[in-house]
Amino acid sequence: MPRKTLMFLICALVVPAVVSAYDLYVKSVKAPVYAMPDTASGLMVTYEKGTKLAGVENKGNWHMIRVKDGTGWVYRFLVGDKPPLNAEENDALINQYKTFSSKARRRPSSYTAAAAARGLREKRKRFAEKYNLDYKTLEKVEAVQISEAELMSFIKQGIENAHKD
Amino acid sequence: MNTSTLKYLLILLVFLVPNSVLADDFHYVNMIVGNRAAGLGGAYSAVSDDPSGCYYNPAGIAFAPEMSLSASVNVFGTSEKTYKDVLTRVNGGKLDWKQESSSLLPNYFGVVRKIGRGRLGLSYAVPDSTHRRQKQYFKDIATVYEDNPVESYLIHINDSDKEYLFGPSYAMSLSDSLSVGATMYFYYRDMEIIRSQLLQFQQGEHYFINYYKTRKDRGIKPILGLIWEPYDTVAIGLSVSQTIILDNDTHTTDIFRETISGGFTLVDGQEYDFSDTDSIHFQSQDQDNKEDYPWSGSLGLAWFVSPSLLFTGDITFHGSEKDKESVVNFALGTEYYFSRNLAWRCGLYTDFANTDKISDGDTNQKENIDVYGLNTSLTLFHKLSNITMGVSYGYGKGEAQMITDSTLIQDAEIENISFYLSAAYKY
Amino acid sequence: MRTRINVVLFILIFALLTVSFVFAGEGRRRLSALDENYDDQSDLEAEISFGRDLAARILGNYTLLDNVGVNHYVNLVGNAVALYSGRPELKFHFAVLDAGECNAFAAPGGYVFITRGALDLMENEAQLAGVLSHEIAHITEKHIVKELNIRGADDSITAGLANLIGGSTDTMRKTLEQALETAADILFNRGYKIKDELEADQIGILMSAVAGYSPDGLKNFLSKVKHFEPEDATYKNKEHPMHMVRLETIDQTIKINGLTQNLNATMKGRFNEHINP
Repeated sequence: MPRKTLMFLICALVVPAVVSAYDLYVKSVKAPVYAMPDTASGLMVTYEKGTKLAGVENKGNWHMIRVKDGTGWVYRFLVGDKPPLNAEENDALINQYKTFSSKARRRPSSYTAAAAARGLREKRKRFAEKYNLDYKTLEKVEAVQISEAELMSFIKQGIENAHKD
Repeated sequence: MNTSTLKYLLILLVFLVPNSVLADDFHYVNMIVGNRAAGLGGAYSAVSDDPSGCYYNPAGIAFAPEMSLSASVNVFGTSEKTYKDVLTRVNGGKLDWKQESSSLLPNYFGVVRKIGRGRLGLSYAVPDSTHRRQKQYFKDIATVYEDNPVESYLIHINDSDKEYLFGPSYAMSLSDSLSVGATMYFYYRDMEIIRSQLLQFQQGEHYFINYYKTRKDRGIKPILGLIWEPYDTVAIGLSVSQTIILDNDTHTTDIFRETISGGFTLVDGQEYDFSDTDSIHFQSQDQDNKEDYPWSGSLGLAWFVSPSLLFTGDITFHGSEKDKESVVNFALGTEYYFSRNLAWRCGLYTDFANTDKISDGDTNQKENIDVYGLNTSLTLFHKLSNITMGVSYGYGKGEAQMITDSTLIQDAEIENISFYLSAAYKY
Repeated sequence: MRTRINVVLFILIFALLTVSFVFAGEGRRRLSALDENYDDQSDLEAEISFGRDLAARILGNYTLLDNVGVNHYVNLVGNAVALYSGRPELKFHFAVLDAGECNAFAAPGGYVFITRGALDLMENEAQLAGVLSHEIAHITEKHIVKELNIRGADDSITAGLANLIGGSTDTMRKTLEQALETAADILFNRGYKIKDELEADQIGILMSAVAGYSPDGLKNFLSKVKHFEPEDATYKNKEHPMHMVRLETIDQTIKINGLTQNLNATMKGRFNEHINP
């Protein structure tokens, strides 16, 4: 290998190593940003779900991020390195698993693989019996629906009454 | 033709069975073993935290981050050795010897699994594999008598030599910063040498020799290792090993036919009587000569600068043995992750000869070629698996004495290129 | 050759010095193994599928509390906290198990169970939110998923090539059956790793606090469990052996993160309305 190429490759190591900012996305419904990694330090701004942030460093349960006039701190569990997905988008996915335990929920598209699924379904049925897996009750649990409106009104009511108790 | 002429001519021939017929016992780093280790130029005794750690420093596998890991490496290696100006033609031109070697083989396979407090490893390594060939045909080679040059000269060499290691490893952490480990390799070496040559002199004489040799060594190679991490990001590794041959079978067969009368000559250390014109000489013998290998120790330093960047270096010492000089080799490596899915490694290493420098005036000296190498590889990571593509280049210049009992010294050159493709899994 | 090596050495040393000021080291772990999020689509499918099986396994061991009102209320509290879980791709389901013991379980993919016995010991909604967010944190931090290496099939080109070169297959991985039994053993018997338990406490407290609840909920509940020691208090004995360490961690978390807001937001009235009508 010519010397120049070698030098270039080795120098190329150093340059990207110095770059440090990283992308973050708000994955919770809201993400409050504080002046310090301390909620008593003062709320600077609150971002909505899906907002893209520029992370500077991760320290314990906090990320330091860039905000308009400098930096702020946000809880690490409220953000992630990929944009948020919706649970609704995964509904089809969950239904796909439900076809194994309940025929009623099988969607037309899953018939195409019906023959393949039959073997799998029977295998799972035996498996479920052996380990006493109660899918029927599980479906009851999954059937409890909380609408967004109901949840929001529940939260609002909580905030309004927070100091009454 | 008088006896001295004959002697000269025969001396010209006998380098075909040179003083060492071994494939390459002059170097210790004939093939760089492993996946990540190869990319780092073999500077691995302080890193060592994956299945190839079983070979470099078994203490390292205690740091293997996953429950279980496996790795396999396939290598395609080519090597070319050139001895310059060995022969002189009638017209004064010089001729080189060229020997080529290539092999395609699995060079490493290893698994590491968490067992109790420690890690258990099982690995297979091929630290050396050559298949050397020389097919050369020369015309009009000068002798001391201008009226009787060698009209045609045919040489065929077909040597193969492989070393295998297979065995278990165990490592455990004694504290957060200290781990120890051991590997017990079973060693097997399988060598086969086939060499033949034919000379035709202008005045009608001819000379033919066929040389066949097999050698099988069985032994063990224990490796003991230790890794100390004085800081979270700094590791110091030490490993010690020795190959001990327990059992050897060597079988040699020589056949000559010549039409030159008179005199004696030495071939492979044996003296043969050529007084009988037009005779066929045949000799076959079994031997039991266990080769002695020195102990080796590696001291390595690794600096885990960041999750994306690593620097590592090794110094390896090989002790001296009756026909081997002590050697100190160096290796330096670096690893950089462009992203979670792509890493680049680069390593520099030395592979110095375990022989003395060739001095003027002496005869039958072993070749002395110091090799320097560069390794680079790219690894693609995906969830449970990763694949690595790499290339290794080694080059060395030195001197050799190819002609028995002659003080002539030839320049020699080694050039190795190998490509490797490897895969690793965690599960 | 010698000068060339000198040049290379110089550059390496220069590189070492330069980068040493930029990084705070994180040790031996390399980037490819760090921050493994288990977060591609097939991993998510595997997590939900496995979590459903584990949830069905829990429901096979326990009876669901036959009280629509209480189950609905627990779902409301749980979902109010889960809005701050950072896992919007999951649908969280909460259910009360009809058992006198004091316990709570989380299965990957968003399934959280709490026993009637635990609810009986609670005094207010902040305590319920604290326990539920502790369980949610086990899910968001993927403690079981990571411990058992629950991952989707790797059908990438890299994996395919690796299989060709190395001749290995996915069959080396744990079977679903083994994984499910190990997970059940973690939940019912041996408990999470201490590190995971403490992490769930920390994240749980921060999560319920950012959702507007009093940060003292989990702490008050655990203190109460400590004084109340019936034979089957598994929430303390089996799953959470390090009571004092946990309470200390919780205190530290509250202090370090300045959780001084909403100290009175216990929502006691609403809790009593739904649980003890």
